[in-house]
Amino acid sequence: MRALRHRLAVLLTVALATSGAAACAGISGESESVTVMASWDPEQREGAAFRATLARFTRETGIEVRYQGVRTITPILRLADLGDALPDVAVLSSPAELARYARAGRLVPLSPDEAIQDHQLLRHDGDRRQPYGVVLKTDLKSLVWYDAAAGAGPPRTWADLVRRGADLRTGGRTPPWCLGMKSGAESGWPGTDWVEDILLHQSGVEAYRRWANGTLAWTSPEVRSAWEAWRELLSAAGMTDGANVERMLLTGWDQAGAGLAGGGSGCAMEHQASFARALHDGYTTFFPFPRFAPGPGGDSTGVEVSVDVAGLFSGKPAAQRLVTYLASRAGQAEWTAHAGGSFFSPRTDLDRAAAYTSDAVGGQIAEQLATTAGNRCLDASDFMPQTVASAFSTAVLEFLSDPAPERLVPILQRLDAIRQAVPPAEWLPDPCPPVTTNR
Amino acid sequence: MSSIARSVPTPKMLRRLRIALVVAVVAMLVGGLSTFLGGYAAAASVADDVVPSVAGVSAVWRQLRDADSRISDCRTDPAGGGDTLDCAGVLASGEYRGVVADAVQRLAVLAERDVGDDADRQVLRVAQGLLIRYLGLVEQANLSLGRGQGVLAGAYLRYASDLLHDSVLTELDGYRKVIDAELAEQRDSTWRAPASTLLWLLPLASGLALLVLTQLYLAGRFRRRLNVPLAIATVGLAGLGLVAGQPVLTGGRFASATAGLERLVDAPASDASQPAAPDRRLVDLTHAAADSHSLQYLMPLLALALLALIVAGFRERLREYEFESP
Repeated sequence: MRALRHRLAVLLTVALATSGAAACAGISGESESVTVMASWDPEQREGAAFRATLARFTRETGIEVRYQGVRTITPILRLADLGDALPDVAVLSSPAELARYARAGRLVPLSPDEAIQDHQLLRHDGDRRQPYGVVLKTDLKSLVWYDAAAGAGPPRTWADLVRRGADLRTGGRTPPWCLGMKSGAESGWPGTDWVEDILLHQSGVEAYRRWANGTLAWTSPEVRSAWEAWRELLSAAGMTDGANVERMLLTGWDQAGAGLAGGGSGCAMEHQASFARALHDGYTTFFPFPRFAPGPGGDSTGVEVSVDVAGLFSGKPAAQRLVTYLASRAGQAEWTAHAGGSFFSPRTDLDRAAAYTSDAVGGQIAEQLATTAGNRCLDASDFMPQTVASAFSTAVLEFLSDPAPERLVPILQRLDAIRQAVPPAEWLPDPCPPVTTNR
Repeated sequence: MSSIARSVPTPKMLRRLRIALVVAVVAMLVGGLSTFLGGYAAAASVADDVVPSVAGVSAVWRQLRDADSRISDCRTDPAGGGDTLDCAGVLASGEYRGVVADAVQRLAVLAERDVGDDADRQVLRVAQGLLIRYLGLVEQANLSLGRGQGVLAGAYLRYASDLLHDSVLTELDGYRKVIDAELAEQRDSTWRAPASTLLWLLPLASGLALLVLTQLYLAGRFRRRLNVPLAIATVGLAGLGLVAGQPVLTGGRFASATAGLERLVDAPASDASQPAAPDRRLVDLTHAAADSHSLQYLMPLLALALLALIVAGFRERLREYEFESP
């Protein structure tokens, strides 16, 4: 009350003086500003690269950008929404979550722009005119990083991969697999990537599509088979032994592969996405996720990718301008230049050879992303409604804590009950959209 | 003055002096009131927003850390034995729910305080969001224990504890920096800068000088020793200056209060050294520094009285020239 009284009086007293100052500011033009929220830690490599790109945008346009990097962006954004304090732009890794905001009318439709390629835009099914999100970043998930010093070349089939784990164990690499589930409130997601990749490669794109869009039951033979294959791989490598179970559960996802390239007796293989390159320099050799023997699924040529998608939460022209810049060829080239080989563009018109001149591994990943453009499937847990995705991560932890065969069916039944409880409108239709190279 | 006084007709000179004195008093009032209110507004902001924010962050930090240490120190294996408490019992008490609910509420109240801007206060929303996730993880541990999954329950408790220490407390520490910046802004408030005193000091000096010169002029022209209303006005103007100078005169108290708060906010926070809340003495000091004793209301009254005295002081002398042609 006292402060209010003071301020009121100050306001009255200095109103005349400040009105003059305000008039001057109006004449000279106030600088615009935009707030952006994303999940990249500003203190780490990915966040630093993003901030450098934002800084370039500010230099070119004079628009100030205030960046907030929060790992657990989903709950924080929901809370900001409740408090009516949403940022102007948010970059999410879950298209499903962004679509939820779009359905709720919280997103401002993007104005299509020549600088954005058509396949970068996310649209509601049936509404071709008003995109609600723009893909800014893509990562290849169907990768296995390995220590080249640990044995023979890349396994070609799933059976080879299982055998490789067993051989490494026999050879004294304990545990053979670098596997860490801990990731704060999202713990368990590295395991969901395993199940997704196995399902995609074992049962094919169509089964994956149906599973990710909620039309294939978790208790179906395809899904159950993926979990069982994962258990087979873990079991062969001795990962289901007591000490290793605890190690898997309690190791941070970003620490699991810390000693990958160091030789010695530590883990020698890690299933992790291309963004792992931002963690440390040990990620130098990889092989694509191996194929399964031909099965009933038919097409098993799909690859799993994750995306980071920007949504506009305000109608500020400066915000639209920022999103357009980040998605544009110039913005993507700038981002690539700052990322040290940990950024991969969704665009089809970037000069990959120039972008990864001194980074052979980055170049290989970019090339692989380009050549598999027609078979890409989005990370299913990012594509599923948040409720299902969270339950999926929880189920992975439960499965790993006690991977006995009889525990799997109840876990899958629980997941299926959650799937059926989610309204159909919350499911997105197609996790494996075609990529066109026009524009 | 004397050559001007000689060349300008007396009534005209009297009117000029009167106008000049009125202008000086009005300028003194505007300048004095602005710096007075601005100076005390800065102190009030420290007392009403910064102090409760420092105390709030400290309280949230301590209660969360204490509750979490009970959770993370318990054993998930009921047959484990030893001195440690059984997690099933610790979680069944539901204490953590109350602590988290209380912390989320406190953070919501903190976010209402006028410290930092909207984007700065976003840190508090982040902490609230993380606390809700923390609660979810502890609930998962509770659920897992109920299902007899001790290993999984232990993992969830570790996730929760790590989330609290690596994220929630880190965000709270980030908010301490926002408080620190707010404190620095109020400490360095323009209204408390030495240059701002010129806003009232110059009109005060001019007014006093004019009053003295007027007395001399009137004594020379009308052979009177002292113009009483103007003499009283001189004393009143000096009094007005004294009131306007209160933020400067009590500046030491404000400086001590901000320095004490800065020591608290700047101290590194960790498990071993948790952020401290301001003690009673410091809280009292900040409130004392923010207490203007409602002198801001006295200033316009004093100024009105001064104007009346100035008018009265000149009225009799001007009346003597009422029937002269201008």
